[in-house]
Amino acid sequence: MNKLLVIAFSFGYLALLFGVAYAAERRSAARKSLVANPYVYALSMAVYCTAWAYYGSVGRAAHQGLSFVGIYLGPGLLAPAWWLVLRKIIRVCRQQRLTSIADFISARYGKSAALGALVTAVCVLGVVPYIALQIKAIASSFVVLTGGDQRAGASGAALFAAGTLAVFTVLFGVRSVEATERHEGVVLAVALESLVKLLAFLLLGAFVTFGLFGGFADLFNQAAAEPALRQLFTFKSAGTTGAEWLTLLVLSMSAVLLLPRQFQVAVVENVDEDHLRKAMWLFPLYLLIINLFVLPIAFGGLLKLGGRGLDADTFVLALPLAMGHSWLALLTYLGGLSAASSMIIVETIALSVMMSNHLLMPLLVRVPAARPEGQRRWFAYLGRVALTSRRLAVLLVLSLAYVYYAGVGRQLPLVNTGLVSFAAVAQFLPAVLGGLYWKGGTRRGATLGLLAGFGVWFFTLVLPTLVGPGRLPVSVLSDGVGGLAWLRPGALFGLDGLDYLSHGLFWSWFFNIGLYVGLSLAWPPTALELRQADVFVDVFRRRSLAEEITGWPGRPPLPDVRALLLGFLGKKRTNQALRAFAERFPDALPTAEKAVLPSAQPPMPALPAADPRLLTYAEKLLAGTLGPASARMLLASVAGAEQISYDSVVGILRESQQLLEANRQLQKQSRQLQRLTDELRQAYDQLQVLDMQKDEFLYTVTHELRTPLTSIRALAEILADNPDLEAEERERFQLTIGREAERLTRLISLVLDLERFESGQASLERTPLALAEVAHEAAEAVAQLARERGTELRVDVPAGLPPLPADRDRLMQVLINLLSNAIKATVAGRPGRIAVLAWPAADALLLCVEDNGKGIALAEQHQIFDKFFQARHQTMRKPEGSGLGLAITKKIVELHQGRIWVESAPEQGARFFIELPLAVPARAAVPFSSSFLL
Amino acid sequence: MNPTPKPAAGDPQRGQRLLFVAGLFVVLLNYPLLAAFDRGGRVAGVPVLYLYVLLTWLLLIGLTGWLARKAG
Repeated sequence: MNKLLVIAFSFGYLALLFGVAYAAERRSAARKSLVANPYVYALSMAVYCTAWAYYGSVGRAAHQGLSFVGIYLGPGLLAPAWWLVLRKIIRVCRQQRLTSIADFISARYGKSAALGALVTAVCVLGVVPYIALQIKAIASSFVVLTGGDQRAGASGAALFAAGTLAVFTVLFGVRSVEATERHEGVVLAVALESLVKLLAFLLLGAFVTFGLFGGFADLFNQAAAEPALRQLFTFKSAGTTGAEWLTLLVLSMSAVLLLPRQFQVAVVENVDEDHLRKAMWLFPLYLLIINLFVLPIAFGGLLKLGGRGLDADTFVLALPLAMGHSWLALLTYLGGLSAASSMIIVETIALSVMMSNHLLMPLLVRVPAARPEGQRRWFAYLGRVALTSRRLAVLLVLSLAYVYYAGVGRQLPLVNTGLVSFAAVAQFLPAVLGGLYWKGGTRRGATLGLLAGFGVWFFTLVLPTLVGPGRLPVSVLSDGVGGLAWLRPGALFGLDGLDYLSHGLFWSWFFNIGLYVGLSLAWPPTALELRQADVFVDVFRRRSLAEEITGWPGRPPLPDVRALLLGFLGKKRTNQALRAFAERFPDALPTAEKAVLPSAQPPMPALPAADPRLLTYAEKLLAGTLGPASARMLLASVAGAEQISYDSVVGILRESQQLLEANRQLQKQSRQLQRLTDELRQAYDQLQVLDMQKDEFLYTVTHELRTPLTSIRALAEILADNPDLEAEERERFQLTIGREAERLTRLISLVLDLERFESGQASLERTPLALAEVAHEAAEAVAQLARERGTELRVDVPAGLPPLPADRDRLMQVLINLLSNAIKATVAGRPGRIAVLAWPAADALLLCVEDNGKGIALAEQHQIFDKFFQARHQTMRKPEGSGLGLAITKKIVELHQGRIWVESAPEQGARFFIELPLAVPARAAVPFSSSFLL
Repeated sequence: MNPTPKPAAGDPQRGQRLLFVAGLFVVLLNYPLLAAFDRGGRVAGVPVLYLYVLLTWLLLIGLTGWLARKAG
């Protein structure tokens, strides 16, 4: 055919594509999308059938019979399961804003950037040869059609095609960096191309079957006559093993899910999950129909053109050309062009998105500025960088593909390249399926599994294609790498007998799955990985809080606001708050809400938007728990701004946790502070008392000291001034002086005593005493005083008491003190009776001094042992005694490890008890103080 | 962009039935069952194996389409 004619038609056809794409974009902008229907969706999936399928199927059928069908039957067998698997993938990707297979895998396994980059690299390395194959198909078909010179014409056509497609891709695939990565123009163009290639192939098939032959029966009859053809009727005779067939099915099943272009059209470009229902059977139907005539064409070619030594791949064009139907050939050629170009466009878009997001952007992005204006500029810069990097990626991919084709493609047979690409993306299957259904999959397992799988894939499937003159030596295949027989790419570890593809798939998956599962079980997932696992595996069970809200500015649906409140405030508080709000603003909540707020509600038919007042109210409520900034951020996310990221939520929770912790600490500290303050106040009060006591002590002591001193001085003065005083009077004065001096001395020694006791310097000399003896002696000492008062004194201490280890002088002091107190306490008008009693008790002796004096009030029974207690309660009369006696007595008793107490009531006398232990405890510490704080 | 309505959940068994269909036909179209039809002979001129694969494939498509219909 005329070269110019073909070029013109090619160009015209591509222009048609441009037009269609443009029109679709315009319609989409006007909200009248041509693309949002299940038929376009199903047709767009037919990008699975590339030029390789177009030409190569016939070629493969001519050599191997029915086995080519495996490549198309696989997707058909998988399609029913799409409802579960593909729908889940679509749901997850929409929720998490994932726009490529690299996004998916990286997000599932702890948002690992390294994993994303690895997946991208594997895609690029696996798919670029496949793209090169398409370029080759276009070039070869052009050459066949025009019948021109193989070399020059081919490379020219290839370059032209690659260039045009690059322009198309950049124009319609990479025009803007959008969050959803949907390209309505491209999808419609691809759907159109799927129709074109189907129609063209059907026409050709019909022509061959019914035009060249008399129908299917006639065709197969003629084929049966040829033994070479008859053996293609069954697998066995054609040499297709069960393993090979199964491998083809499995490879194609994973490819239809995981190839970048398939992921793009099936997941990313999906408008409505419901479209899946039709696509699940429409797409397999398409595959069936387009493959209906492959075998007839193959057989027809073999029968009609068998002798010419033509490459069976070209039968599709050669047959009509040979029969003189150039226009049919042209149409078929356009069908092939369709198939190749749609593949190239979609695949390049998908790859450029991945490369930009996971390889180029991480290298190019800089740190954002802190100031707001700086941030805006940074966002704009980011947008530009993203766009540029995508365009760069498109050009890079196509250049690589062209270089591959020019350098490698024409020398080596590309017959298996497509399947090798399938095997490359099949390495993602464990990570993807595991990621969807197994929460235990970890990043480490996925990464190393993928690496291992990719490595083995390269070794077993790619390496053999690099063998040849000028490249790797053939010995690599026959003797293994480095001469090691078990490292033969065709029979790894000695596994012989499998065909090339099955062998490669088996080993690559063996290591991939083995490492994935094994490492995931060996090291458990981190918290982030588990959280992502929940998001992915449980996606059908979650409420799609964020799914429909993304991209909506303004008012969030009421149930979502309530859900937010429930989450942070709990059911009770939320219901209370909403009730209170409803009372204040009765019109703000829809009536259905006001009635009741139970936990199980019937699904609302439509989502009512939340009143702005409610939003403010909710924000205030949340601010109480989280702080105002976090509350605003959360409400903003519900209201449709950027979906809140996991890290921000963790940050919020951590912050509020910290707040709670800080609050707890503060409360504890304030309680401690309160306690300390109380103790301080107590101590201060006591200190005041002590201070007062000290003052009183000083006052009293000086007073007491001064009194006898005054008397002595006065009397001495009188004696000095009156030398001629009567002897009797002088004697009396001298006696008084002596007595007063004695009194003074006594007082001073008492004070010194007390001071010694207080400071712990007093020591006791214990000797075993007969208490009766001491008691009698004490009674003697005070006998004079008792006689003066007319008080009867009785000592009733049995002589047979066990000896008491005590200090004799001190014990005397105690008894004399108690007895003199008792004598002083006699009431006027009543004859005083005093008794001293003693009896044994457990390990101790009890001593009692009893009197019938004026008694001591209950309130004062402790205080009498205080220093100067008496002084505190001055009566009209001059106090008798210093007020120190009982204090010293108590001290002495305590020094003896004993106890002293009193039983008394006003007007009913008093009984002073002393308990003194018989055994001296070894080195017991003397209790200091204690007379201060009773 | 209007929010997409949630897909008709239909009966929760739809997914399981579809999965079963997929599994069943994987078995039907693989060895050893496939080997039963992998023999010479033709029906209406078409080799037996070709016909078996074709018809089974059509049946698969039909079943899938029927199971995937909108829930009544």
